[in-house]
Amino acid sequence: MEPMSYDVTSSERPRSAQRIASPVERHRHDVGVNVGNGERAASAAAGATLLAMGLVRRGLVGGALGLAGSALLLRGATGHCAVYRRLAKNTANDQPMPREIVLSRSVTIDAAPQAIRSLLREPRAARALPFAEVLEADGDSVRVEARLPAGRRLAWTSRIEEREDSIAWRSEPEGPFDHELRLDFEAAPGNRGTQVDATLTLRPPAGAAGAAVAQWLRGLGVRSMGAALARLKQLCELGEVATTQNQPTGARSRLKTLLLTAQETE
Amino acid sequence: MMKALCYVAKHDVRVEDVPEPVIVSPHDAIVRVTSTAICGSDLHLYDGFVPSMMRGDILGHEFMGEIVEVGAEVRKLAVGDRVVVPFPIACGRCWYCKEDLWSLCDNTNPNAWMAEAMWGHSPAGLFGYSHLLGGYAGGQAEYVRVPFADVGPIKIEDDALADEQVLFLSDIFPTGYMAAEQCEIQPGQVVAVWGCGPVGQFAIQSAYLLGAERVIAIDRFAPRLALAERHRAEVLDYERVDVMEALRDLTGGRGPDACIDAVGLEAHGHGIGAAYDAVATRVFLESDRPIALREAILACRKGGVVSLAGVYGGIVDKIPMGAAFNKALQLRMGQTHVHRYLRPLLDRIEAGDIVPADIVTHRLPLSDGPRAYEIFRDKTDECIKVVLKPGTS
Repeated sequence: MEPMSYDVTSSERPRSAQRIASPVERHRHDVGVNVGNGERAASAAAGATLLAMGLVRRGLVGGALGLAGSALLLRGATGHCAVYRRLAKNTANDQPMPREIVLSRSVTIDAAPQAIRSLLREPRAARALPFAEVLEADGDSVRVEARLPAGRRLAWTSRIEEREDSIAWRSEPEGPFDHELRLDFEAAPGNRGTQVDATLTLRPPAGAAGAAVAQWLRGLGVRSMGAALARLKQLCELGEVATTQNQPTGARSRLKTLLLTAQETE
Repeated sequence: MMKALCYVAKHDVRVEDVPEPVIVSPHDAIVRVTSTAICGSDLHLYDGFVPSMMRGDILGHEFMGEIVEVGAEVRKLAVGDRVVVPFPIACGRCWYCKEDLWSLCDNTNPNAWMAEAMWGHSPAGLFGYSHLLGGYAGGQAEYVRVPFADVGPIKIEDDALADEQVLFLSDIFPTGYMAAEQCEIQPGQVVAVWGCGPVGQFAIQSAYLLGAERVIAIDRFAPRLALAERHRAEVLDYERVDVMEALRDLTGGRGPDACIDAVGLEAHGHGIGAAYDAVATRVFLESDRPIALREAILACRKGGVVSLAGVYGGIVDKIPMGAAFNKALQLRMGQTHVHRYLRPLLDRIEAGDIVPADIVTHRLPLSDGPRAYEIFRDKTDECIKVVLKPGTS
């Protein structure tokens, strides 16, 4: 697993009090951070889950779930827990939250690197990312729009950088989604084609709070990357993506349909 | 609309009206199902042993029928062809398919991440066998969509061959055959088969086809033991004899040269091991009941092969690993690479070396599906194998 990237890389990390605090760090102490990083991520995760459940269920129970979820989400995002303050408890350590999240996955594709590269430049490559659409491709610049939950959309422009054994999409720094996606190509042993190592570096907005949420989404992100790489492999090897879309089913239960749709369209 | 047998909940399957399938990808074909069977592994779904089943999922992975529509890039099949469809869906192009390991196809499980979470890597997608294995609609229906149609289905040219003679090429005949093939049977060898259900019957017959000297079969249901005897097996009723002792005595103290587990994760048994499994599965310490597997490992002769045809899905406990290691056993297993066996086994059927239809005890219309599952599970009415006929009543 990739290590998280810290903004302080020295092995002898100075105590946070001795460091020059950034505005976010100062804020961190202003609100009284008393929850540790791991717990913050867990809190944010549980909160978001409860909130989602609340939104699905609605009604009185849904409202309660939503309220509890919001509180937990806030606790994760700010790192402040009122209950801990009353109990004079503090689980926060001195480690700063990471500012960058690095996700990585690999896949072996039975095709030459050149064939994979040229497919990546075709519009149908977007089928590897079912939630995204290429709005505009112009030489080494590409504009992509992603569909987010609740009908929201997010668009950004990336610059494509091709090297001998890699291709990378770097988002423009002032864009709304600061990230870099990089694919490294290497011959797979035993005549099995090309090993594609994908690395996604995310610099989430809202500093440490955003990173806490992103850290929670890490597993989901790695899974989505795996699914996207699997689809890229299918496009390269088969020219189509294996799917069960539009197939018949009997009557579904409502909640499960919702959950499954979310999982299967990732 | 069409009729399809749908999973509703544990022990609850229903025939529902669902939309007819359509061509989604250019390599798809639509098959009008003429015959479909209930597999022992369908009972694992029915009994709630397989996670990720959803209300409304169309069941069934043993089916055959007539091609009624083909996608733009299907080359080998045409409308009107009569085909048997293998239960694993294989792309025919990936490294695994090229290595003849069709059930391990890299490209056909759209929900690979679910299988990866459970097993580390994902095998091929299967028809009608949970979302973990692709979520593909199954063949216990009037029509079914068959992806990668040029790769899987085998054309049956001889109209004189009844459906029931070739239907089991879709799964259980190749499954029994692969289990026997994994034993690498040498002349003079003795093979023991746990379970005389449909797969066990094919394993017995396949062991003889592959040159076994004797086959000993183990079960507790009289009709199944009787059929095994008709297939030339010596039979042991595990409720009447001590299987370990009997196997030792029947093999001059050596133990069988190869042992086939044709039971899988829902084994029944008695004694301390069975009681342990009953408790452990209830409290989720294990998910599968490996009673037959344990016995096979203990009974097998030194240096022999234990071959698994019965399905396992999760975690098992109290596997006598010390016995397997110290007796230098080979354990061989896997979902059947059905594609590999279609042609050679169809040749065997055409040559009259085997009569697959002789295991069929029940023929029912698809609309009787829910009752058919009950009969098959409870083994009432001397049931061994049920074939469902869509479009009849």
